[in-house]
Amino acid sequence: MIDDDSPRQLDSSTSKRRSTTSAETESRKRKRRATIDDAPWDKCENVNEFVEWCRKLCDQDSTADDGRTRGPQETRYIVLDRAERLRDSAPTLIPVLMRLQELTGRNICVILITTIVWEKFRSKTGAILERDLPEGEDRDLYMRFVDLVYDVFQRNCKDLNEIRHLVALLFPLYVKPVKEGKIQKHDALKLHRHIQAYFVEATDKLYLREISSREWSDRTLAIAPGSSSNRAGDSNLIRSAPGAATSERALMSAVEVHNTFDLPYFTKFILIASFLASYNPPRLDMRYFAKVSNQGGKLSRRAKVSAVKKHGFDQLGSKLRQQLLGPKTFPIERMLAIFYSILDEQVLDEQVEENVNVHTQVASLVSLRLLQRVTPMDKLDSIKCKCNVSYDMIKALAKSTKFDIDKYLYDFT
Amino acid sequence: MDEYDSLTEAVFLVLPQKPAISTKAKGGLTKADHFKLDGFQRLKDVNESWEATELRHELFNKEWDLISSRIESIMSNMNTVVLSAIYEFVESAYTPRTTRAVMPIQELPTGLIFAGINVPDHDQLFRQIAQMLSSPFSPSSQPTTTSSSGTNGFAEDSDGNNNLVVILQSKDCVNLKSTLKSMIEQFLGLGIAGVINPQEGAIKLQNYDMHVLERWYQSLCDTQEHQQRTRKPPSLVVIIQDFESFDQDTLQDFITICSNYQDRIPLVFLMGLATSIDALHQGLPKSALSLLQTRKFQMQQSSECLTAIIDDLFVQANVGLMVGPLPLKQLIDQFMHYNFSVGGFVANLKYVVMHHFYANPLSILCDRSLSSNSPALELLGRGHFDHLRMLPSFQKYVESKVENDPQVAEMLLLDEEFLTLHILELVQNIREYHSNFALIFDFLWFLQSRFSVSVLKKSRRALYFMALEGALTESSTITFLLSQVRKLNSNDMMLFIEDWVQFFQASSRCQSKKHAGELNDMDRELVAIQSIRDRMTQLLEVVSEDSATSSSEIEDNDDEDGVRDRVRTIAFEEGKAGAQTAEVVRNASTTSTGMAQLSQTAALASTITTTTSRLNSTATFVKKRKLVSLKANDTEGRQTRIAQKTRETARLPKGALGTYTLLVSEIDELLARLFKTYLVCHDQIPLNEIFYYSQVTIQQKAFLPQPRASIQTALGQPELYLNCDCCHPPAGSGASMSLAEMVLPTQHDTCILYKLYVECGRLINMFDWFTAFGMILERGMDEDSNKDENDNDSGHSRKRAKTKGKKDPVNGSHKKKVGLDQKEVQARFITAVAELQLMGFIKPTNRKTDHVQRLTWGNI
Repeated sequence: MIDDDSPRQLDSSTSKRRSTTSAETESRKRKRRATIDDAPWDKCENVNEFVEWCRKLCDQDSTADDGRTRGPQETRYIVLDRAERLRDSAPTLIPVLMRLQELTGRNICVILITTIVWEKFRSKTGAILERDLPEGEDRDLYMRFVDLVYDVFQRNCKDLNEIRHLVALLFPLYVKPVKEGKIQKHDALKLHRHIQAYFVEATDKLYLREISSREWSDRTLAIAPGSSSNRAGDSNLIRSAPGAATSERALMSAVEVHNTFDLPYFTKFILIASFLASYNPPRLDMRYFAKVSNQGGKLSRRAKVSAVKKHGFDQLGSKLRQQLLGPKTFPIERMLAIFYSILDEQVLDEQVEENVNVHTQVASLVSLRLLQRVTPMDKLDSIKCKCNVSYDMIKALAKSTKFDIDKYLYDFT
Repeated sequence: MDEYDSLTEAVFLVLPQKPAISTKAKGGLTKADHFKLDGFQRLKDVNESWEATELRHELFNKEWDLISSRIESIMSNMNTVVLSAIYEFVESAYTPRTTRAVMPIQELPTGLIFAGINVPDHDQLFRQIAQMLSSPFSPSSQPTTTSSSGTNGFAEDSDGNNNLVVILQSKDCVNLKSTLKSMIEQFLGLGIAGVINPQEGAIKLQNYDMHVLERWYQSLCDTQEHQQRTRKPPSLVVIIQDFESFDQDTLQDFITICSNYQDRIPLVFLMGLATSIDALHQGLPKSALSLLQTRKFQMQQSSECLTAIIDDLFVQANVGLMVGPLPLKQLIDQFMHYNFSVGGFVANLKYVVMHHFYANPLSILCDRSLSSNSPALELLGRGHFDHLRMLPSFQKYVESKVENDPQVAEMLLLDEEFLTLHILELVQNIREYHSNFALIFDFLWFLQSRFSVSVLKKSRRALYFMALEGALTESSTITFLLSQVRKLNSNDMMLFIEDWVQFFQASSRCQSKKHAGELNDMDRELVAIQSIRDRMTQLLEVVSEDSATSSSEIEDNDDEDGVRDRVRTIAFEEGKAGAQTAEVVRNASTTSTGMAQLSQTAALASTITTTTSRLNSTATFVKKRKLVSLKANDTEGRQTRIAQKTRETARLPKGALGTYTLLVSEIDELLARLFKTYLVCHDQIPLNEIFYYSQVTIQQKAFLPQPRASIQTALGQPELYLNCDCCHPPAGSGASMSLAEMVLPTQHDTCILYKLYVECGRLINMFDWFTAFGMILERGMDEDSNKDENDNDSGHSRKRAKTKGKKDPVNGSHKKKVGLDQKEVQARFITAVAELQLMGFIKPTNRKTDHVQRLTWGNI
């Protein structure tokens, strides 16, 4: 969307030709398609003029060096070397060049030659976002905000819809102090500081969809006014910061509350056992879990190292570490054996006997996708599973059951 | 071999088609009664009458109805808040929101319901949600509590339902087609009147085409517009019940499609998540996630539901049947260790209740409304009385009576009519005990929440469990709480006593009495507490007056008028005292504002007290207490150290300290006595066996089945199951070997094979196995023929055939033959192997020819 009504002063001289031999540097460091023959140098006052010129040139039939005649339908090229310099000039120039074909209605191709990546050119997606301008809002303010959002989020976010999403959610927060009369509209710095806390939060939570747009807007709009009205009388700058901080805390806690879930006691152990079965090599099971071996069946540090050496890779950083390879499949019987072994050690007062519920729980863990069944459902014999749980979660589980998981894990950090 | 009873044959359960016919066929009313009574049978050991059986059945139904309805109401109460939030969410999903930011992309409103990990329980929950959403009323009892005025309009609009709800389960949704089909069919199946044929038009649409739904929805809206006035079009709610089990790719496509139709069909998603939000983030890609506008709803944790249920049923003793410590532990362990399933808990509990009424002849007395004219007492027979007298608690009771009142003890043991009357009294006692227990337990809880630090806190469930085990009265919890009470300073002590009195007064136990004559234990305790409070108040008054004027006027009236008067005079005097103190303080060149304020407040308080028309004694004391503490605070806050010192010396006159200590120790004693008397273990109460279910094994067998252990026992020690007398160890071996370790030819073929199997390694050679099997059979043959020759007793084999029933007819039938047919041995061997394979002990392997792989290790 080029603003045609506000002509920009292009004091650069532009030259247009369609040959492709060389390029020349011109005034204002702009390089344009140069000519070999001495066509008259013309000066374009603004973009419109340039477009006009393009049309004119394209419409002329001309004879190239090889003697072929080119009709108006022939593609004409504009090659711009060191095109990164274009960014320094008027903001509309690149969009114009990009859409030259549309604007002129002629078959013109623009080629930019540069050493930097394309993303750095597309400085503003603002033109598109401008269409999302909410009713009754100040356009300048909005555009300034859009630029800001784009600057902040462009590194992480290439999706236009995501940016629109963010802009829509953050803009009300941005203009709120203005509407409340605390910060002047043109006081960009203050506004920026005000919004910064939310930006941090948004990158963490909103962009990852940990909280939804609705929860976000509910919370930010509900909390921020309350906290700022508490401190009426303070200066604007001080007030905005704690307001943001409290809302941030509220957001954090809201997310955390919902991110935990509890498992029945034995189910926790089943999950721990399957984690061990997935990440420990089966050959070491005897040493870790057998009750009869010396030292209470535990692998000492030294034994661990020697076991590692024997098998020819380092303690840490080995490429073959299961931790890096992801969970391995295990037969369900092995997991159950580990389960009873660790449970025996943990639950001293009562004998845990095998019963149906253990198997039911395995099935329910599979349905919860905490275990992943590898063998097809119709195969009832020798079921194999994978543990689909992260180390952090297992650690939390082990902590809640007071089980020392690290004692049993082989080659794990 | 056709008569051979193989396990591999299918077994069909043929239910009687019409019970009436079978009754006629079998004849007699007993069969009909059997069905009518759900299998309740006459208990032969007490020789009870049919009426008693019927009564037990009736009581069971009554009791269980009570329990289940209570549980249901608890469960629905637990989630009311969340449910109404969900309702609100769905209602407001498509109402224009002016305050919120306008989103560039329309997102599908999605409620994430975190319902806990026990998936089987979710069925009921989601049915409840669906029902609630499709009903026109908000679940909160007052429909006007909803905040926005827009949603209120139709809450009163009672006709027609608002939302159309379907539940999608993963089992119906294996791929995208079936998902869409299931959803559309369910919506269409909701049968809204006036729906036009969605398949009109030139092209016949497939039944999974969203256009079908779209047209149907349009027609629905059209008809509704005709019928009703201005009204929000209904939202279509799709409940995805078990998110984790869904195929994630299907779901992703499904969401994308639905979001494209969102502008035409107002769809709302509700997703049931069993684990955490991570499941959603892992399951769906960003592109799908960005189409959802999620909102989280946390259902009540099921462990809290359990606590609430136990609290309501047993602690508050709202039901007749109680569960003893062992079964309760079993119930709770089952819940906490394995499944978090409230449904499982309820099923388990039902079993307990059923078993109590099924097997215990005395359960006819387990009736909350047992009175002198209830039929249960008349049904008591000789057997009942014998049972009753055998109850340990009753024996204990009689023994205690022997010492005090030998005549009563004798009557109890001999006179049945006297016993009948006495039963009533004892049952009454138990009921009394329960209600006292509930109150004091609540009080203990109150005390704990007031004093305990979080580390030492015990859950209600744990405390109740201790009480059941009888460990509560001696527990450290109570000792700790008592010591905390002793450490209170005078003001806090006063506050505490006030709360204490109010706690007792607020309880239904002390309120319900109508006549002054019907004083129960709690009323007596209340009186005791009140008297302590009164004395405490007086003492504090004395102290505060002493501190100001050193005058001590103690009035000792307990009637209300007296109290009022006293308050007035005290207030007046305190006004004076305040002024005087102010003078003293001014003399001591300190600030006088505190005292001036104090006198003002005192005067104010006195006016208030006089204007109060109905002077509740508690209210007065509260005011006075405030006054006292206010005074203390003010003076202590504002005075200088010198003034404070002078005050301190004046504050505790001679004797007051001693009185106070005495009072504190009295409070301490009272508390200790309360806990000791009323939180006593239930097994101290006579006849508790009628009300407390205490068996645990049968419940364990039913709810913690161990199939592998049972099979292994059956194979290893078949005599335990068959109860036969043929399988005894040969005479020579003696006691050195147990029966389990021996292979006896009289045992079943599969058992023999299993015992041989146990001795094998990973791979079992079929031929060796077969040979060993044949040897054992032959050995049995020899013994048999020897025996036959020696004893000439042909009844032996007949007996065995009888005891083993049809189980081993072959064994019996061929015994008389001298030689063993090799073909028969082979056939029997193959059958047994097939059985072992079916039970999962072996499987064929390709590793070695003629070998099978052993699959089980160790004996469980």
